[in-house]
Amino acid sequence: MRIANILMFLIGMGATIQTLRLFATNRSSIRSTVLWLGIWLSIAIFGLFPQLLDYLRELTMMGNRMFFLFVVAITVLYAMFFAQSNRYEAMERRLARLTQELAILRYELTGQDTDDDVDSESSSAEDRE
Amino acid sequence: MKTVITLSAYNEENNITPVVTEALRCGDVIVVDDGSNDDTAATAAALGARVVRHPGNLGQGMAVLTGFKAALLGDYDVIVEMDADGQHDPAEIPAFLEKLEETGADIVVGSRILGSNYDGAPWARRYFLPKLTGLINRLTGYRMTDSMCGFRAFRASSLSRVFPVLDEMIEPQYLAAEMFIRFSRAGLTVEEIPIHLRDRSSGLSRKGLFRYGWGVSRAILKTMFDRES
Repeated sequence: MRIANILMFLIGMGATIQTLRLFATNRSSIRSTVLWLGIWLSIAIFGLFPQLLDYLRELTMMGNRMFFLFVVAITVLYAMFFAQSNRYEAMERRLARLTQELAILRYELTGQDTDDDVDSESSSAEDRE
Repeated sequence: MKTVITLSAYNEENNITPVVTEALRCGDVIVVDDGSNDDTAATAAALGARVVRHPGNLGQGMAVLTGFKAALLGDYDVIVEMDADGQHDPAEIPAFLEKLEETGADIVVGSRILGSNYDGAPWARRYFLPKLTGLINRLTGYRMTDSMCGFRAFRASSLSRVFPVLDEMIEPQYLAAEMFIRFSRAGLTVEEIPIHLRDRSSGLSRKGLFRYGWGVSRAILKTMFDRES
């Protein structure tokens, strides 16, 4: 077994344990844990059984091992970026709605912004000028 | 008809005074301050308008929706939406109310193209606006000449009927495009009257034309594929 394979196995297993610890201490969601477990365990398994890479490479009819790994990595990264982008947009929309609800709630409670609120903020604006 | 005028404003302290003053002659005024860092809110409140303040800048579309929400809390018959930059003339509000009464329409929109002085608008806007409006007309069955004008009057009862759908807008910053498509799905009727633009008292428009046009097109596409309403 080559040093690179041993390193892959150790890094994969170390990261797997860390991922499980984060999940156990509620610092990682189920979705995120499953995703990262999949990635780290794959690295550990490919480190232990490098012939598996060749099998998958032949199955997908790709030229060589490195090219296969590169394509898989890029595809996974794009998928992750796509998911993150969608989540970010959803969070932005939620934040905008919450901000709007806060403004309406404040308006409902006070009738409008009180003169005190408006005056104190306008004098702050004057100080800035 | 009991009327409220909603104005969405962002850093319009230099423009808002004449607009609020004139609008108060036609009804109550609600100013939505979209996170301004000048004295827009204080100025409006001092003039007698009711003010809703966004803690941060959410964009004109969200500010307009907030104005609708605040207006629907009151007991009004008509909600008039207009810009706070002085380009829309509050003296034309009675024409909207007359058209609502005369036709029984749910919405009356102002048209800068039917009005007399749109020739002074930038060439790109004069070229693209009819194209976008034509597309919206094709999708909705309405016969508007200007779908993007922010000077509109709504029957409060009609707006409250569709508001739950408006509140879930995909792209609120490009309100007009989605709004009319959703209105047509709800069966609301639209009429149009000419309006006359005035020059902004101060400042510059913040709408980048091509970015706005691209955003509107994107909003139309998304709404077409969203069949939940």
